[in-house]
Amino acid sequence: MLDNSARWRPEPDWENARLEGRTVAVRAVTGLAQRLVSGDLDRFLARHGLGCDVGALGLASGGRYAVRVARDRLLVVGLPASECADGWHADGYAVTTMGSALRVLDARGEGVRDLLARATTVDPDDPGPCAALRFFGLTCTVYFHGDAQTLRIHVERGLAASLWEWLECQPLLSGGAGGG
Amino acid sequence: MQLFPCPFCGPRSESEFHFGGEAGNRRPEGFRAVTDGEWAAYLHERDNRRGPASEIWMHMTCGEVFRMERDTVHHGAVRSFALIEGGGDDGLAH
Ligand SMILES: [Zn+2]
Repeated sequence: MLDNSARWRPEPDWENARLEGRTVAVRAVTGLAQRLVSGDLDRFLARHGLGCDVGALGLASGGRYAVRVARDRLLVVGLPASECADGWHADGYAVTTMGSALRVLDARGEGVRDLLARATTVDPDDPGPCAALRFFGLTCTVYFHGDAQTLRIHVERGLAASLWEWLECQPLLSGGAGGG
Repeated sequence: MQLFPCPFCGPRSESEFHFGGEAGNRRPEGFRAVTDGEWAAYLHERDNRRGPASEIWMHMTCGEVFRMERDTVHHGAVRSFALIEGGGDDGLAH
């Protein structure tokens, strides 16, 4: 009988998944509150004291920040539902909880720019205001978090295992402990 | 790789974009009053100009739909215009 279960590997155990290269290491970040905000972004940012949003390869810090993913759309990290409910808000924006929709990976080390060169076509010295870009051919949200050697990547949950396998195949990340 | 200018994101690889047709090809309004000839023209008849062209494109990563002036001979992308800022050839998104 046809058995398709052997055609694909099981998903990585994200809590413990690690890829270690000489100059860069990758791990999954779990448990982040992720919200999608559409509409009047300036009013949303002011209302929640989030300051400026972060663009492509921009630098976000802390556990609470907003990343621009379209002209009228933000991916907001660390904003709990208790502070801002899902749905339409009279100030002119809509909020949707996205926590289960996106996996988050952190790539850390002096080799992150080499990883960017391999995975994207964006100009690292002029990346633009929008953090949604193609990373390994997948639409991801990509920016730095904490410092300029930590790249954070949000990817659609169903595609995360595919991105992980691609990362495993990279010479930059080969030769270390597997995470699968 | 060719770079296309998204009016919001700036220059990005052409592979992030999807062609949306010639600008100004508006859907005929009027429902039953629209003749089959008008509808067929809307669906199938294209100017397909040689040289400067005005086209609708979508930037897939951010979702922006915009108008781009491009040359169909040398393929140079000349300028792009945000429809939300009145950049359609008649100021409308269509
Ligand atoms: Zn764009």
